[in-house]
Amino acid sequence: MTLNLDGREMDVVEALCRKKGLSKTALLRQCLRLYQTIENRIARGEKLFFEDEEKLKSELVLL
Amino acid sequence: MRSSYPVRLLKSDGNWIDGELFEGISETNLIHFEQLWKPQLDEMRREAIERRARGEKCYDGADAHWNWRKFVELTTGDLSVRQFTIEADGETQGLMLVSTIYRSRIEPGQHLLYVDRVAAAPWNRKSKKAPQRFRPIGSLLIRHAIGTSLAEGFSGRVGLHSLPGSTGFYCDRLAMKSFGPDPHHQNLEYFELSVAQAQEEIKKSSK
Repeated sequence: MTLNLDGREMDVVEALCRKKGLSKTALLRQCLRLYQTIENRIARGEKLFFEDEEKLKSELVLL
Repeated sequence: MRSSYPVRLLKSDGNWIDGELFEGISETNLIHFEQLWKPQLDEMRREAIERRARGEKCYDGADAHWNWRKFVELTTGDLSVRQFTIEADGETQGLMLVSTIYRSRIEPGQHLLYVDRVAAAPWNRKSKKAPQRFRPIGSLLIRHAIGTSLAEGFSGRVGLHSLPGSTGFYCDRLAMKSFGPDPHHQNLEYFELSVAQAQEEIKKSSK
């Protein structure tokens, strides 16, 4: 499989790899796992929230 | 076909037996759990309840309610979960489920391998009644979790919530860092193995 990413996308991949100490393959594998987990939970009717330092929750609207 | 690698298990008579550690939990493993493990686990749990009523500290069979068939049904096809089994002597000797999408508390933001469930067959657990048939099942599975963490690129980091009867193993034997009871996880104690501790454990196991 060949992935065609533009320069900005590759910059993000490389920055995340550095930050997480992962190879590109491991990083993309994690992306796929997280994407599938979120999809499955949304499909079950669950919602995804982020909470800030003041404990205020905001729902992440997924397209 | 499930991938596997050989493991050596110590029998109660002091001899060694060859076993295999598989990726995946098969229908045969689930039947072994339901027909061989479950009746013994229920008995262990019943005895533990009686002993606790007499004021003794006993958590044997604390996982008797775990429904491995349901766990497998819920996680098969889920890319974030990996299943492992130890087989020897024609029977299932240990089972483990791990998740790859948890984050470290020791190093916030970094990935770790989370051991969601790990269990040895009831006859392989420490007991006053009979010697363990094969050992060390739990240690082999946890060591495999460390190896899987390394292979995933998580540097050996492992996290887990421990049932009350197993906290000594994670705390004393593996020297995992305790974060205390977790109110979001039935107040079970959360433990984490750091990168340095994982490297130490790998050194010990390769000697």
